[in-house]
Amino acid sequence: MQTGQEIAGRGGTNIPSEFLTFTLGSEEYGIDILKVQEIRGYDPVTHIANSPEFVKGVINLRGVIVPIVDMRIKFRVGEPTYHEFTVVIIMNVLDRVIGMVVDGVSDVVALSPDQIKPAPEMGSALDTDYITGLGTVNDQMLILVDIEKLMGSEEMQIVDRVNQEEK
Amino acid sequence: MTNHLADNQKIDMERFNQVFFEECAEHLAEMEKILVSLADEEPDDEQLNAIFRAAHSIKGGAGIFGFQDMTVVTHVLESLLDKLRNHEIAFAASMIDLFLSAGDVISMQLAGHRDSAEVHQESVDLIRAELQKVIESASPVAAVELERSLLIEDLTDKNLLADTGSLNCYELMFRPDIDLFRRGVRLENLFAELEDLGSLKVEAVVADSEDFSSFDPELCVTSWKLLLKTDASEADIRDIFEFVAEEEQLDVTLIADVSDKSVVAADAAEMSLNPLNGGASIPAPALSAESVGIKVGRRAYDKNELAPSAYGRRGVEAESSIRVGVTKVDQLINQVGELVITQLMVSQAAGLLDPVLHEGLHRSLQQLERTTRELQQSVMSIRLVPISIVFSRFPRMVRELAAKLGKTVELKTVGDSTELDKGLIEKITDPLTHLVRNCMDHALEKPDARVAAGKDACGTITLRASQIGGRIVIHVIDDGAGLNRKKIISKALERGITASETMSDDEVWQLIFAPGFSTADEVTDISGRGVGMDVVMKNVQSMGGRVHILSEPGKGTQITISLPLTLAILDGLSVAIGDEKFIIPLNSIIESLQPAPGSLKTVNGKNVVYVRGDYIPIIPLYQLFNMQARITDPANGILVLIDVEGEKAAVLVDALLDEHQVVIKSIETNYRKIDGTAGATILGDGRVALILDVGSLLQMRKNLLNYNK
Repeated sequence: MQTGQEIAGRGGTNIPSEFLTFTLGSEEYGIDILKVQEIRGYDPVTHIANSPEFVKGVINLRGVIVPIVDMRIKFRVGEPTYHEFTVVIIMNVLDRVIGMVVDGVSDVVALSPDQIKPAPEMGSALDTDYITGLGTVNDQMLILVDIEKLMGSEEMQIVDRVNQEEK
Repeated sequence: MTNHLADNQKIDMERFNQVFFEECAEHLAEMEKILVSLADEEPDDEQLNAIFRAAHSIKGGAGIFGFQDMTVVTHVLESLLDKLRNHEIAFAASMIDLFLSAGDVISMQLAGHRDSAEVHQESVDLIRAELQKVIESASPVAAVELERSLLIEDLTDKNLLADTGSLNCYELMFRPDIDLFRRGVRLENLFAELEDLGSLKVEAVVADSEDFSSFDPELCVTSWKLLLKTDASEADIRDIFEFVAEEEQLDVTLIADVSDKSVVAADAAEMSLNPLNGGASIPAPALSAESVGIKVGRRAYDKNELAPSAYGRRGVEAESSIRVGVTKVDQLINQVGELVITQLMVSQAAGLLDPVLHEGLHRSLQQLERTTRELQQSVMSIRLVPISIVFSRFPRMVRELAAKLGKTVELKTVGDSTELDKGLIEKITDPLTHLVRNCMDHALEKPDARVAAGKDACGTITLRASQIGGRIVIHVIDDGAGLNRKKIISKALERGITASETMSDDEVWQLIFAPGFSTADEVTDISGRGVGMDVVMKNVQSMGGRVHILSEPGKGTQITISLPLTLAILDGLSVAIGDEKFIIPLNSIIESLQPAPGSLKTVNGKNVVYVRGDYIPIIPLYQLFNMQARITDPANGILVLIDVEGEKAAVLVDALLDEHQVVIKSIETNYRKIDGTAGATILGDGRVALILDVGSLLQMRKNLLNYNK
């Protein structure tokens, strides 16, 4: 199906990309589906000493130690509660496997480049630096996130920087 | 599309080249091992054959993979070895060194192809000339033969000419139809059958009219000229071709009764003028001709060997190992680790069931547990390799260094079959090399000094490896002069290192691990620059190992390196703090104790515990890690005494849980380094536990104290 779309769109530059959409608080976000490895429930984590509050800890994902970050704490949206409906998106970014806790996963949508508008300076929870654009799906706004840039950023403190000024 | 194809072929070739490089390196190592083991003695036939085989395989491989430069030296080497093997040339001790240097040149060329390393053409030419000189000086005939093809050497091989009483020489012209290969005829089998009748010389005649663009490799466009020397009749020969060739496709001509060798030699020489690779522009038939040639050639060699045993051994070698990438093995280890955890979870769940009602289930689970454990052990053992891989490089080094230094040294190795992790093998090589060099240069005296001291003129270095518990212990023992206490102390003071006469021997020996430390009076190109022992120490410590020195003046020195069995597994004690579990490496733990009420004191407001005459600082882990602990008062908790390079500390924990082997996993793969931890592991319940790095814990405690000030 995906290839079908691609071939259809090959005439112009109008190749649609697919996004996984999730909610954080009242806002709807989208990330490149190709970065997503799997979606799973929230398992108890092992806490990591002296790490930022939004880094919940690490879990054992089939023999791989995977850090879990809670975006709700990081961006102070939603209520950080953990129950059987809490969703973790396991992503492959920056050659790492990272888990991200969100309020809920909604859908997979295909957006062609002309459906994506540049993001204005605005007061979303996420810094505009990490937003690649805004999409519209069924009259609802979708904030598209450059997840690789976000996870690699200094403020997430996931990747070791050579010169780590903080702390 | 064609481009794509070319890319594919390129990649494939690289893969094959890699196999050749590995095999070639192995053959070279094998050759060197045998040569060094000879120690100037004349090699027996078995050994000569083994060396010859190695040289031959390298040459064959190099030829097939197109590394023509490598065949140059190997070819001359092989020729000389062949002469030796057939006792046409007398063995001389000097040859061993010559062969060793030839091996060096070949490995240099190998490195040139593999890593694009620099190749000194002069040394290649030099060694070739030297080998040639040996051949020529011993046998003038041989030199002429040298330039001829391998096949002719076989023909003139005296074994094949040994009994020429009533032999006939036939020339066979075999012109098969083009569908020969499609009919599934195996030419090598056919030629082998012919060879059973007598000695055979095969030559491919390639049809020159074939157009390359329309060339079909499945068609046989080659005809074969065969020279067969046998006592069989023409009918016997035709019998062999019965199902292969129509009568008109095969001409059998009786050339001559072979009663003297010169005829065959002349024939052979004449044939060699007729270039075998005349059809080089059409690669496929030429290649098949060549491979047949090699096949027949090898057959001739094997006849030379005492056949059954030689065959048998080679067969075993071929079956006994396969090449697998380390990543594949690691993946396997990971997956088995997962299996073990899953098995534990199933067992725990089943433990809640009524043992009477579910007797069958429990029995099966026990079976599963046993099998899983055995599987885990087998998988872990894949990564283990014998330490002889490291030890085997020393005989040659010792031999050469001894010659250079004017010392006589005997190297003994004990426990060559001790196995340790492949990763450790790679890392232990450099430290061991340093130690052996040090022994050679500093520790062992010159022969006259040794005799004067009442010792055997020949010094001894012993490398001994053994497994003691979960650790591998490697001793480097020499019977030299021993460490000079006074000299070490004075040198240490010179360099501004704190030292005094009152230090214990152990403490003095530790001084030599200081960076830049050397007691050598003069710097040689072997050692003495003082970049050695500190590197040894650093390397060994990075593997979680320890170095210990014992030395007695005049008697010798023993350096002991103790290493964990593998980098992937660690013996640990699991402890609980609050809701979390941590693993403390067992090798750093001295003891665990519940402090007696009177033993707890405070110094500057910091808790210390008094244990057998020592005041040991207490590390409150919950404080370092900012977490909730059940117990914050050392009087109620348990103290785990740890020792890091002589510095002691007591870690306060809530409870001791269990002692077990854990598989070390990196946190940094997906996250960043966490202070105070050396990695993580997965516990039986599937949860992650952090492994404490006791060294950095001490550092964290100091930082915390400074911060509080």
